[in-house]
Amino acid sequence: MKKSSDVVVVGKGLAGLFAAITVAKKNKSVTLLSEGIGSLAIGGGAIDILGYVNSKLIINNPFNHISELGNKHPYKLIGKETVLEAVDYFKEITAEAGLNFVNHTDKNKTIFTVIGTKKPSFLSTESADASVLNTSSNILLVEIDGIKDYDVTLIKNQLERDYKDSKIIDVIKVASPFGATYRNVSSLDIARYVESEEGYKWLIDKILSVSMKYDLILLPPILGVEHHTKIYDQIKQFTKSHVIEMATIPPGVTGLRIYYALLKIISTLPITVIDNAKVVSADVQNNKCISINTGFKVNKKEIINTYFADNFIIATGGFLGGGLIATDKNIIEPIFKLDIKDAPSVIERSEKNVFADHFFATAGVEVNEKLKAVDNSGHEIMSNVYFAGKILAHYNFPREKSGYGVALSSAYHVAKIIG
Amino acid sequence: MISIDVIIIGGGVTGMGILRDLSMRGIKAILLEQGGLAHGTSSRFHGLLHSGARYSVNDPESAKECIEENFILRKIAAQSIELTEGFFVATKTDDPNFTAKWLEANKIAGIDAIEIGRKKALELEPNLSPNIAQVYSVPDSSVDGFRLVWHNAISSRQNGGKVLTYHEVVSINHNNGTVTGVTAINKVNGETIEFNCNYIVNASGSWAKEIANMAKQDVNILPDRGTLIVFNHRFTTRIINRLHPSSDGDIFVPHGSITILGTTSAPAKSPSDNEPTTEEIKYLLDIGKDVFPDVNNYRILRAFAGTRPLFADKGSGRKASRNFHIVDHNEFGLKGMLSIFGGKLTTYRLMAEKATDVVAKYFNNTKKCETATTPILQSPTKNSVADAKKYLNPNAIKLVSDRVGSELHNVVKVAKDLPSNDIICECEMVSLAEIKYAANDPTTHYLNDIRLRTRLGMGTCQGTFCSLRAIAALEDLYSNEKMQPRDHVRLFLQERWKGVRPALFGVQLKETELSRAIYLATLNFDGGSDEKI
Repeated sequence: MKKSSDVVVVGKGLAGLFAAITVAKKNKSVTLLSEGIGSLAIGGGAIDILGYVNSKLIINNPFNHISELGNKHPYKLIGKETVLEAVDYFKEITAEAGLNFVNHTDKNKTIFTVIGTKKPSFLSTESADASVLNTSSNILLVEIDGIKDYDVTLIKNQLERDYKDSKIIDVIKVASPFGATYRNVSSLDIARYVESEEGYKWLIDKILSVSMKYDLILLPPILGVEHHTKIYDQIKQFTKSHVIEMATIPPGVTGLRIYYALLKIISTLPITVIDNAKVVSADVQNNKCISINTGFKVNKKEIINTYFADNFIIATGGFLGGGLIATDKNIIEPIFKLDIKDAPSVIERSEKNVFADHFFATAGVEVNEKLKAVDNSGHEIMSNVYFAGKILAHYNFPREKSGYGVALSSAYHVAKIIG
Repeated sequence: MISIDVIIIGGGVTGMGILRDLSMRGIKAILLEQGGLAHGTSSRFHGLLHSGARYSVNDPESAKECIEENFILRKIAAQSIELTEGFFVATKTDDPNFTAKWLEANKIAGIDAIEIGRKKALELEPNLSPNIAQVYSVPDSSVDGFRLVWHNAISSRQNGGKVLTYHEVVSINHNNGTVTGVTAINKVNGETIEFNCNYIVNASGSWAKEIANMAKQDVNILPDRGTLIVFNHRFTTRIINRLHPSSDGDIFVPHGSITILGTTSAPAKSPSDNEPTTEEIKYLLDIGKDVFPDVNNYRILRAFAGTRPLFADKGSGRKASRNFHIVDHNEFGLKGMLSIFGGKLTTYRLMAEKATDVVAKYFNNTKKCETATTPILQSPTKNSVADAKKYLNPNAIKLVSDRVGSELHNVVKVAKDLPSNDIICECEMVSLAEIKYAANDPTTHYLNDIRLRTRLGMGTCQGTFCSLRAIAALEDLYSNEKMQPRDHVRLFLQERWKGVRPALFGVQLKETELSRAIYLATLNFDGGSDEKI
């Protein structure tokens, strides 16, 4: 039995990547296994900590509201201090990769979306902080021909409804830099283009040069992918207007910025990344996980690869990521075949109101304060397996706006325990 | 106060068929519908245009009506019908003696049933169970019930009829045993409206008893609930029926990009008893696997339920006659009102003809019914198709032509004014222009109305991506109403949710998590509208 690494991390979403980095920074070797690209490719790039508690909007310091959450909520298990540390460490790590995240000292900020809604969040790139929206009186909305899922008329009308015509809102129409194309252009295409010399010149000439008189310029997320902060800083030299990117639906340009930044750090650390690796089972003896096994089929024959380690971090996500599997009879965690206890009948998994607090939304692996799985009586099931991110029970990230906050802090917490 | 000859209550296929027939005969009528078009059973069934073979043994009269109307509708409603043909499949456990009885009954009804060899059938429909014993082909087809209603509405308007959606009738007014009018509430703006009329047609389907009671009349109707499952792909090219006495879970109907499996049969608690249950889904899957053994592995998009407005003289549920029934309330002391119920969507035109005959007689109108020979909508002209190719995605022309028929030039007119005409819904190839065209119709008030007119959001993504794009196209709807774009999406998601809940397992739960991540986590649709952030 040859050890693959000190730690095996499963999952390449924010929790898995951040756990791998935090562990490796403590001089441990890591194997990072992932089946797919993870949620950053489809998610937004703002780090929500807590936007709502019991449906109540949080405008001020979100950390001060952790005490109002239920006792089993991951933030409660992790503890406020560790959550704060995790956020700081995330800022440090991403800055090391050249992607700067900022926050207001003691309050949530506002993210503005492409359908004209606003969302409370805590940490983001400067380009996503739309808090200046309330105080700006001359706003320019930039329309780029052919971008899908982005309609300036909708945004303009919504702003006019919200601000009762107290602002001047103009629209500028810019031709797609690619001309006529076979498929629709996405924000991601433009964001990549802007990273080239030619693309940056296009941004300056066609958009920023003609927008000098506005306090605020609203754009889809097109300000670079891998060199976002550098581009944003350059823009700030050029224009005095606030330039703000709106949150969009997938593909998640802003989420990909985080993904690439973390991969850049990973490449400098003793982390072996293995993609297309579907974990199918684990070998557990005497309450200790010995190995994790990936499997794939070649000519109907299943090939199994086995990864031995001292500790294992499972960050495989919720139902979407495959960390949890629901049948019409039960809900399980498929690697260790953990039963999600008290899983009710199918209809009881949800409420009639589509926006209610559904059971399935908070279903997940029950853990203790070390984020190790526990049985019905609270006893640890395995001594060296930790869970992080969406697979954890008792938090409702879409409602609370706490997704990346829990992902980061749970990953950081278990890495600290292992390290 | 609005005065008109006839008020029709109910915007399903029966009511709309009557509006068209009355309008073609020159009788002025307004149709009132409590929800959007096809709010009731006309959009809540399997979408099978019966050949009649399902009823030939037990209900020969219905079977004969079905086959005759089937061939009439193929001619007059071509855009709503996909000529799939149907198979009747006997499994090894089905009674082989039934087949002979069934074949004889089909012959009497005039339904062609042609034997297809077992091997040939499996070649044509490879997902069928290898355990099938016998297969016959019949002239079944699939029909888009909503489109049929919508096209009847367009045709009615071309002939002078008027349709008001979201108008709920709250009282039927009469004086000295004669109808004088109805009172309705406009549910969009809350206004009460009085209508004066000389005649009322109660075509409210499962609600017929409630409406009749408003006039102190009664009808013998027993709404019967049926639940159906929608799968995310077409695993059969033809309609597949089970060759045995009509029962539950024995019809598979391919439709657009999906397949529907139905149905169950049980007394409905109320006319709007339309929430499916997990037990019903599992029950249907369990029966369905005899014909399609892999049915449990197919992805369920959602389930839905509707209520059949059955005439209850012979019994309830499967035993109830599929015949339709007209009550002339004059026989029970109220002049100027009829109720029509029972029947099948397949026979709606005949039902409309018979009801319109009664109304026409009341008005001494002798004009002949022409609905059996006059197409509801013409196909678009060659010129408008050629023109459409310049402004619409060429691959979508056939689909759009079927959805809007001779109205194609009006979609093109919208497209011409757009800087670009992107596809909004990839599953059903719905473009921005078509959405704007549907939004401009006076009967459209909500995103849900657009969904039914265009099939937007009815494919694989179930609206996760396209409903966001669509609300941007609906700015015209927001200006004069209180609903904001996010309210439309909320309503849309709430409507879809009903069918997703009982199927919240497997891939559907994955999809739900993705949709919540987008709608709630990223876009904060659940945040309060008046929040000051």
